[in-house]
Amino acid sequence: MTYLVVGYGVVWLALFLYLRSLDRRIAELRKEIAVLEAESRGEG
Amino acid sequence: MSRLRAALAWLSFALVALALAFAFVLSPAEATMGQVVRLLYVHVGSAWNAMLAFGVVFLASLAYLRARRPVWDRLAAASAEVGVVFTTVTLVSGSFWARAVWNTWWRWEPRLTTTLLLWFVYVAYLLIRESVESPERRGTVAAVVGIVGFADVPVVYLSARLWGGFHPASVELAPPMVTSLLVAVGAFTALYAYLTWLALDLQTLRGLALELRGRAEARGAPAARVRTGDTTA
Repeated sequence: MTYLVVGYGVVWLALFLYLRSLDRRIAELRKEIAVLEAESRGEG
Repeated sequence: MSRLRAALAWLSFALVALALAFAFVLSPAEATMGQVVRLLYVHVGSAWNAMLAFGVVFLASLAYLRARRPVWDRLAAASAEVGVVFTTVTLVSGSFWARAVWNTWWRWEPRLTTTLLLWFVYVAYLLIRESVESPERRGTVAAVVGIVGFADVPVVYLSARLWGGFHPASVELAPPMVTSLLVAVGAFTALYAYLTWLALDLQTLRGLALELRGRAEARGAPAARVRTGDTTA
């Protein structure tokens, strides 16, 4: 029973952390793109 | 588009909740293995989706080499990343199961060894992508690795049939277990689709950021870079 519970826990925690990492990386890239576009408009 | 993605996210989470309910409530324990047999649903669900993910890498790589459209390269990269995550889940859940029934975390037997090899192949695929700077060259090299690497997928599937070993080639399941397994596979497939969609978005944004950085550098302006963990420069 311990292996079942810990196994499920590890697997779903890993998937949750991967989902969070995708969300975080997307948000940071959007922020960077907004800054780069603003800089480009400012100089253009 | 974002509504469709939100709907897919909700569908994935609802199916995962349903799969957990089936796995822990509807599905019976097994006579010899007991409760730990419930790891079957997460183990097979993730294994099926790892194969699906690498199948998508294979097809998208072929499409990229044929049409040279960046979207195919980005789809291959996105699917490979999600495939590696699902292969990791397969290996980890299998390891917990093995500890419970074989009294060991790992055995160098055909199915396990070829699955570990599969994990290394696609981790190498992702590392190779990071090491090639030119987008065109990266797409071509990655596509070739994505096509050649797929050769291990049928080997993994057939390994237990061809060479035997401890891992069963197939199992006979009671009807409630078959239903629970189908729900789990459906849940993992929806989750695969959602995660790949997000990973594809990430690849698209990385491409755009790279282009904008290039333009900023060409203007002589130091390109602002938010800490993204994005190593493509």
